[in-house]
Amino acid sequence: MRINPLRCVRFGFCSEFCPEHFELDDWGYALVRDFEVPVERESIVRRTAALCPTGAISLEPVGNSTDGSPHGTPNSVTRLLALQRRRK
Amino acid sequence: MAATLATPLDHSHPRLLRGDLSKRHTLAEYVADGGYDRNAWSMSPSDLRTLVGASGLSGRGGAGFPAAVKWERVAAQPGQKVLVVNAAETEPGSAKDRLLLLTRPHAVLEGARLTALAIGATECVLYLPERRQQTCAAVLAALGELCPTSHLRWRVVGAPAAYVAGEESAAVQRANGRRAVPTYKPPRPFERGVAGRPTLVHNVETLANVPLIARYGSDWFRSVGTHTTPGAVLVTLSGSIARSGVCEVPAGTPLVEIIEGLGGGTGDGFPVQAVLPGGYFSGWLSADALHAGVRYVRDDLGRFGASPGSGAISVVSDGVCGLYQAAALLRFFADQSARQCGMCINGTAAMADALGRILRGAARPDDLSQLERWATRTLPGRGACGHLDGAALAARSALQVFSSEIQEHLRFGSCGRPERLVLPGIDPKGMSIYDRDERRPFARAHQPAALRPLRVLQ
Repeated sequence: MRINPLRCVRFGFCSEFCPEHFELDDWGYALVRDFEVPVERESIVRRTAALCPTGAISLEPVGNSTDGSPHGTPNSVTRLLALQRRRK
Repeated sequence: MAATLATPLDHSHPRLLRGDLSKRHTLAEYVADGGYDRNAWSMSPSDLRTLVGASGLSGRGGAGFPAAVKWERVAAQPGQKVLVVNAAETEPGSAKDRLLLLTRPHAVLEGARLTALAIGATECVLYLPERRQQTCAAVLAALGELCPTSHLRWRVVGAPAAYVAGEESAAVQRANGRRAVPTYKPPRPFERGVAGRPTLVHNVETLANVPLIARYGSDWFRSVGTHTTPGAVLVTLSGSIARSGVCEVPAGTPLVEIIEGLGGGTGDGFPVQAVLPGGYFSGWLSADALHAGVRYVRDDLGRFGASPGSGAISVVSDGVCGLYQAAALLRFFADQSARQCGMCINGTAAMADALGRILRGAARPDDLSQLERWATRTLPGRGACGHLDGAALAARSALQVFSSEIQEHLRFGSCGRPERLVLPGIDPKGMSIYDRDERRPFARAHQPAALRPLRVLQ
């Protein structure tokens, strides 16, 4: 699961409809704790994604990363980003 | 002539900062110095890619991604490709790209031409900082010395003076005639970039290394540096430093050696308090890490949560308030946000405000805990580009490195040290001032020779 930060304009429907997967940060923007969605939860997350008025939420099957993300970089942020991309 | 040119450079010689660095080297001077080597240019595109892969060249713009991996990805795409030479250098503490373009533009242009050959690019976009007139003039003059070729079209695009304009997707946006702000990925530039074509974006210093690798081979390139980051890197020293300027050092040189040996120490008689080792997004490094012998390479700095980034080393001495620098830096991040992602606009501003209140001794009871929560949990990994991550890292590392100062400021509103800004490119209110003056960056003479004998650092 990915959230396009450019599209999220804090409608907040995601956290209302599916609080198990979405929460809101201090400013009301969607915050996802676990980017990996188990198969049995896929349908509810898909329905939540369809509910987002700006279409900011997307789901992609987990596969091998082919993007140009830096990997092997040590700081935790980059590691986190790489992890997210790998989970994309 | 060719026989002498093929002789690998002596290891104690500078690789990139060669010759007289007070003027621009003409094409004739560059060729006399070994440029446009016949053997290098007789290589096939796939041989070039293999050679660069064997050399282990990594990007020098900040991310440190292996150049050959990017090359292969772009080359594997169908159709005509585009190469973008990213010379925006929006990192306020960095002057290395400017120095290369002002003095040795042909090294960069030959690197760009070889890279274009290797990946099959038909267009080369020069993304030049539009406010740096001298730099643009030097590149355009060098470009004028080259014969126009039908198989590679050059295009010059101006980079605005804004921090995020140096990001690779911002460069692609600008080349496509749009505002120079980062985009959401995917698609990454190698999939869909300039004019929708597969695009390779490289930093100036990365490209300047390519002709040397093509000329002298990958073993020569790897003969200095570490196994993970071979070769020499350009660093720019700024802040509380006796001798600021650009130096060329082997990757993996101890940071303390760079600061003390090449920079001459802090210059004000005080010891080092903290260092930003690789630009403003690279995180604060404490003096303890420095004296623990941290080497200037990604894996080593990473152990302390920092990175070599773009090589802009900003030193803060004990003679000034360190927390003041950290607060100004967070304000800089807030001001320089592209204002596209809501969490970046709000998050950077909130962090800057919170640290500002802590600095003045007017902190709210939850300011410190909130700042820590935002910087460690709420904000990292969420923006469309690395700006928000850079701001979060700047805040997170500041909370660790300046923890005792924070306690003093919380209690007394001051740590007793003068609140004088030493970080370059930020004015005391935190607003950035890009290129108020465009002085020629000063390069150290005899760079690597001043260090201990160059060797492969394992």
